[in-house]
Order: sequence, then C-alpha cells, then structure tokens
Amino acid sequence: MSKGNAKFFFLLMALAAMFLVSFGVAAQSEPVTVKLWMHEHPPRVPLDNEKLALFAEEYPNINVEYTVVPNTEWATTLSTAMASGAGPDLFNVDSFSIGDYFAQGNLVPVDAVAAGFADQQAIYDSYAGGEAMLGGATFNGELYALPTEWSAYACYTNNALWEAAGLDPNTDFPATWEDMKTVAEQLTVRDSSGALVQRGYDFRWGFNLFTILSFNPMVQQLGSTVIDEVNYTANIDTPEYRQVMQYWYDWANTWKLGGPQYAEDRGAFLAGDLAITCDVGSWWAPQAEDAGIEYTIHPVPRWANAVSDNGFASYGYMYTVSSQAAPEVQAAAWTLAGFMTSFPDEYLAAAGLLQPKKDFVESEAFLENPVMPVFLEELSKDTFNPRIAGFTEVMDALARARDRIISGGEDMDTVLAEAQSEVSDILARNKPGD
Amino acid sequence: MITRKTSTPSFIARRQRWGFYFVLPTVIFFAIFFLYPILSGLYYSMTEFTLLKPPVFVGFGNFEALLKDRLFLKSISVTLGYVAGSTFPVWVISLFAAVVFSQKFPGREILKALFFAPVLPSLVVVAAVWLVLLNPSGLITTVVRPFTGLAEINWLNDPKLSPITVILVHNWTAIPFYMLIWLAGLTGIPEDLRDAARVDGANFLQTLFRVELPLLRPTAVFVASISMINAFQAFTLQYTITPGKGGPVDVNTTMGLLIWKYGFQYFRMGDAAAISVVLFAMILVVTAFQLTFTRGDKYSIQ
Repeated sequence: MSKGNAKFFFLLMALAAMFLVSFGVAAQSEPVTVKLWMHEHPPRVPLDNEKLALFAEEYPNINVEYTVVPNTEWATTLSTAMASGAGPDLFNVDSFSIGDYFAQGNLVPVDAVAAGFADQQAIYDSYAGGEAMLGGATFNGELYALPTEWSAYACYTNNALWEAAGLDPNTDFPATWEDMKTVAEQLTVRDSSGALVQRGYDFRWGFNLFTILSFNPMVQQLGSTVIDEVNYTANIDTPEYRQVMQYWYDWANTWKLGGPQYAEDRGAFLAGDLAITCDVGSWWAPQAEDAGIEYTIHPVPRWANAVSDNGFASYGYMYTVSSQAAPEVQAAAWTLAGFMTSFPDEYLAAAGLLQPKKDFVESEAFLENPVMPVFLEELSKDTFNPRIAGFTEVMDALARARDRIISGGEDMDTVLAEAQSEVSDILARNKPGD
Repeated sequence: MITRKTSTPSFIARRQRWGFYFVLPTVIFFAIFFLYPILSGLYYSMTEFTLLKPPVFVGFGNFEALLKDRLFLKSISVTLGYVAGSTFPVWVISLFAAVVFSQKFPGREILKALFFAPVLPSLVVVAAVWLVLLNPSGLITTVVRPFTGLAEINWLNDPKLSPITVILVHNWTAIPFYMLIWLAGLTGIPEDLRDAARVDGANFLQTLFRVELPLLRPTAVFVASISMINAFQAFTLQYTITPGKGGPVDVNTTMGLLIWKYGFQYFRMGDAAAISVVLFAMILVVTAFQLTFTRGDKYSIQ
C-alpha cells in the first residue's frame, strides 16, 4: 500500500468509525413515545402526573402521552381505539376484562429487564405472597401485567347505627352468614307502615359484576365455584349454588332485609341508611371519613359449614402493554410501568391504592395502618375473579338467573338448569383457541 | 322569435354544474357520515368482529344465529311492547292536550309552559329525578298508597311492573313535546274553515272530527313517524333508569340497548351490526307503511 493510499484508507476508516459511532448514539437516543391510558380515579391523577414528571427527568428519551379515560367510557374507548389501530401502548386494564384482551392476543408478557428486574421470578419475589399474589396477572405461567391496584373487600360498620341498636361492632360483628341475618335484623329499622327506613346489611344487587365478586365467593366458601377459568366450564346447578341463591332469595323475599329495589349499598351506607357494607375495599375509607362516619373494619363472614376460608373475590387494575405497539415502544412502556409501580407507599397514602410490594407491606408504616392489615389478610385468602373472555356476558347471564328467581319468582330448578346451559354456551364460544 | 340568451343549453348546463357544486358539500358530508357508516354496518353484520381482532367474513351466519338467540328474540318483543306503549297513548293524550291548549281560557300560557317543562331537561336528568321518585317507599308510592294500601312498590325491580314504569316515565316527557307539534298543526288550520263549520251548524266535536283532525293528517304523519322511530331506537332511559341496564330479567332490554351490549360489552360487534341491520329494516318497513297508508291529498288546505 502506497503512502497516499494508506492515508486515504485511514481517513476512510476514521470517517466510517465516526459515522458508526454517531449512528449508534443516534439509535440509542432515538426518542420513543409511549401512549399511557389510565382509568379515572381522581385521587390518583395528581400523583401520576408528579411521577411522570420524575420519569421524564430520569428517562429523557421516553416521552409519555398521558390520558385519563372516564370509567363509563373505558371499555368503549379502548376497544374502538384498538380496532382502529390508535389504541394506547400502556394501559390500565382491570381484571374483569383482561381475559378478553389476553384471549384476543392484545397483550404481551412483561419485559422484566425493561421493567427494572433481573427476570420474571424477581418480579414475583418483589411482591408479598410472590407468584400467588400475582396470579391475577399471570396466564399460562407468564406474567402479563404489573399491578397498579390490588383490591380485596372487607366489611365496614357504621358505629353510630350499631350503638343505636345496642350493639358493639367490635364484639358483635357476625363471623358467619347465619349470624349476619340475626345481626342485620337487629340493625333494621322500619317505619309505621312497614317500609324499610334503615337496613342492617345488604348485598350489591344493582351491579351484575357482584354475581362474581360476592355471590361466587360465597359458593366458593362451600367448596364449589361457579366458573372454572382454566377449563371454561360453569357449575351453576349445584347444591352449593342453590344454598347461596336460597340465602339471597330469603334475604330479599322471606326475611325482607333488603333487595334489589333499594338504594345501592355504598350510597346508602354513606347516607347513614345502612349499618354494614361488605362490598368495598381499602380505597373507600376516605369516603366514609368524608361522610363523617365512624367505622370499624371486619373480614367478610363465612358460612358456618364453610370448607374454604375465603372472603369476597379480589380483583385488580394493572399496567398491560399492547401487542400493537412497536418492540422499542413495548420496552419503553415496561420501563415506565416498572417505574410507576415503585412508589407503593405514596399510592396508598394519596389514592388508597394497594400495590402489595413485599418491602412495603412488611414496613412498620403499613403494619401500623389501622385499616390495611385486614385487607391484606383477606387478599391473601381470597380468590381472584375468573379472568375469562366473555366475562361481562357471563355475569349478565348469572344476574339474569338471579333476578328470575329472586325478582321474578321463577322456579329455581328450571332457572338454574337454563342458566347452566346458557353460561356453558357463552364460555364455549369464548374459550381461547376454539 | 326572440330567444333569451339565458335559456341556451350551455347556460342550463352551467347552472346545473353550479347547482352540483353547491350540493357537493352536503353530498360529501352525507356520504362520509351516513352512507359510509351504513355500508360499513352492513359489511360488519356479515363478519365475526370483536373489535380487538380484524373482522372475518362469515356471510349470513350472524343473521342465522340471531334466529336462535333468546336475548335477541326477547329484545324484539320488548322493543315492540315499548313502541306500542310509548306511541299510541302518546299520540292520543298529546293530541287531547293540544286541543285543550288551543282553546282560550285564563292562565293558558302559564299552564302550557308548565306542561312543556318536562321536555327541557335531558333524559339522563329526567331519569335521575325519577329514580328518586320511584324509590320503593318514595313519593310516588306514598301518592298511590290510598289506592294500593302498599308500604313499598318495586316500580323498577318487578319484572312485570318495570316496563310499564319505564313507558310512563318516557310518556311523561314525550307527551308535552308532541303536544307542541299538534298545537302547531292546529294553529296552521285557517280560522275560516272553523267559522264555516260553525255557520253550517257544527258543534265543537263535529268541528274537531270533521274539520280539524282531517286537516291534521300531515302533522299526524310526522308525529307517528318520529315517535315510532324514536321508540324503536330506545336506549337512554333503559340504560339509565333500569337495574343492570335493561333489567330486571332483560324486560327492558330493547334492541338499541342490546346493540350496545353486544358491541361494546360483549365484544360481539358482528352480531351487534346484524341486530342494527334488522332494526334498520324494521324501522324502514314501519315508516314506509305509515307514509303509504297516510298518503293522499283528500284532505288538504290546498
């Protein structure tokens, strides 16, 4: 090689090196935009914004477009946006509809490394209860979501109404459904015409979701389950189901302690017209306090002959990443999800949302909280709501069966047989891969 | 023979071209926002479409499945019941109210304004107010207690009573609206015709049935068509006021509500589109029948 040629060769190599380095830097610093959609929970939004500002400082190459979607429009907005290819990259799906999104192939597994963990097991290990706690976010052994809120229900008592009835919630709270009837009768007040003025306890009748969140767990306490999410089968025409249905029927029609015709239980409790509600989580405590209600919190009753020590169903909201997003956006989205779930103490304090990270729930601050240990204890015993495709259709069918029996007075044998057939058909139609 | 320059074919062609330009925005608007959705709906009705995955063409499979779909078949009967309950009584009572308010009596304008008030708030607000009133031991129960003797009435949770309650709430807001339309029709009838009838010896009822009602035929067609179309498309009241959105036991699940449920709750957009095609066809047939039945100029001011 001549001297001139050598100079030219080195110059060429230097230029190539500069080009490659600059290209590499450019590739590394290429900004990525993550569209983040969260459901509406007003106390959480300011904290989200605060943490997103921190995230922007720490990850300047990841832009976040943050959108809060009203709860009533969530399903419609999300599904239509995804249909048109304009959906979010990272979104806060609930455990009731995650089965639909999973079955349709809309979700990708958690990228543990991008989320700041060594691997999937490290994520499980960072939560109290490990893999079992994150069972609601796991499909076929793979983790598909990171929790923004894990929730279990417990019972709130209105202490003033208990005192007026000569009862003490700390000593008289019913441990069984059989006792619940007795206590509720003592707490019920009727006017001179016989109309209910104050209820002791009532179920959440007006929302079909509670056929899964409260009715099904009462069946599970007896050793059965209404929906088998693994095999996509229904167990409706069973003795356990009948026992629970008979209890709900008697509650409304025989004992006349409540029913679907009355104001929904949460509102009635806040208005001082209901002495016990068991259909609320830890996130509800601020509302009870704002209403000026002094309360105590207790585990959900079990049947006297219960074979399973579960309360009502647990459920959750969680960060999931869309399969429609580009791979680099998916990785950035998991980085964002990992970051946003690293402040469990602040999310509980500001928004009442429980993210059961091990370090947090073992901290003194958590253990000294007067409310949280009861909920965490229930969470560890409860089963997650079935995460099936067609969830809404199934719960509507279950509510239809309930209403035919309780409001319509139809024969239980006939209705349960038909419901068994109807729900089985829905499950068969929605079973992934079929 | 003098021919005006403005009537040459080229001028007509030019005028037609300009006319076309003027209607073009409307045509484009109609094509984008009406024609395209209708054709899309027709296409999606022949697909299996969950919104979350691309649609798959299934021909008339969705329509065949609807024939065996208990919820769909029930929604047809619920819709027809609702149409019957929220149209015929509304026509009669609103016409009666219009005839009353077309008479002169003291305080008429104030009473008319009060009668019209239920039309002003949105149906969602109306539903919220009625939910309070229809509490089992609420005001309505108290008002009817002397007749029923009941301390509590399940206005919305009794499967037999609930559809009637929903129809009554609807009619409470609809009657004043249609009353105003009838009133406009009555006002449009020349006073000379009434005077002529009176001179011929007709009394109030004869004038009403022989002169006014026949001349109200165009108004009747309008009222019948609009109220029927609205009733067939019923959604808001059933969504807001009934337990479980269409309950109890689906006795208030109209076809409009079922379309929403199938499409956006159950992710069965293909089935939802098929129901909307059926609903479209039903409305088309009923409206065409009404227009055909009431066509003719036997009774006309002209």
